[in-house]
Amino acid sequence: MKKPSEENRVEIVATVEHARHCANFIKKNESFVFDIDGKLLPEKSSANLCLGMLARIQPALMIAKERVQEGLDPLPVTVPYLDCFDTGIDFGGMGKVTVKLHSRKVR
Amino acid sequence: MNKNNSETTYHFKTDYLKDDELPELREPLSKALDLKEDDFNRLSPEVKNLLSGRRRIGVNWLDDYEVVAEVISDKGCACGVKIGQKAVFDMRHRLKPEHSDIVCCMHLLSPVLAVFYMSFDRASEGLNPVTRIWTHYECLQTNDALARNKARVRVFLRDAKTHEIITKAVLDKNEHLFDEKTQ
Repeated sequence: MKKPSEENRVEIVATVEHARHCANFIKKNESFVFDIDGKLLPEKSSANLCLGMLARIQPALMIAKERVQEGLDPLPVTVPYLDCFDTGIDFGGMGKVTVKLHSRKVR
Repeated sequence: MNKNNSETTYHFKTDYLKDDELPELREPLSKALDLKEDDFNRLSPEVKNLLSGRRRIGVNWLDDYEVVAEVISDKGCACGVKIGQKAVFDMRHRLKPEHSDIVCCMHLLSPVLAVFYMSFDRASEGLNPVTRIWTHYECLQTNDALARNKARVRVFLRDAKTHEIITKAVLDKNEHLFDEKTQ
């Protein structure tokens, strides 16, 4: 597999599109930032680092790395939304956070 | 959720708080989580059980304790995870980067979420919130060593202030509950 050159390194950003009754007080427009190897970058993230949301994003990070190594855009064009593991107040849980994934060049 | 099924019992009765409106939690929780009266009234039996953990192991238990995932194996890991690094979470499963020195690899940390599913359940029973069975987790990447070489963590509970590791099955403040159950 090809390894991305330094200038082509990208980050994966999950921006909060919607948050409701979140016990970790995650708010709309906050974000989680990851490197292409799947590592969370706390210093670049603005949302509270809730594992219930982060763990949901993990499979997408595996996909992103695979795609970059094949020379493709990091994220597929299929639905870019992911929601947290809490099932929400109407389905036996409490809160619900939804993020939208996108990529950007490393800042 | 179909409200008609709220009293459905599967293997045990979950709605033993049916007539308990959790009065001491209503105001602070509604304020914190933006819950209107109707929202609070339709909390599921499962969430009410979750919230009742405060009565068992202390009003501030979510802040009094921390879950630590300490790396015990790093062979084959290319992400920079090293033995001895620690990820520290509060009891709401929020990573505390200020107390953590781990390389925050999501392939290793994601499986740790299971600890917190168990922790709320155990708290509602008055037990040490961290399981004494499912304490080891490993990286989700299999690689070509057929899963022999992986980063792994061991998970434990500690006091958030003193960092004392807490291994008792029943927390000190709840030992009377344990005595009642064993009599």
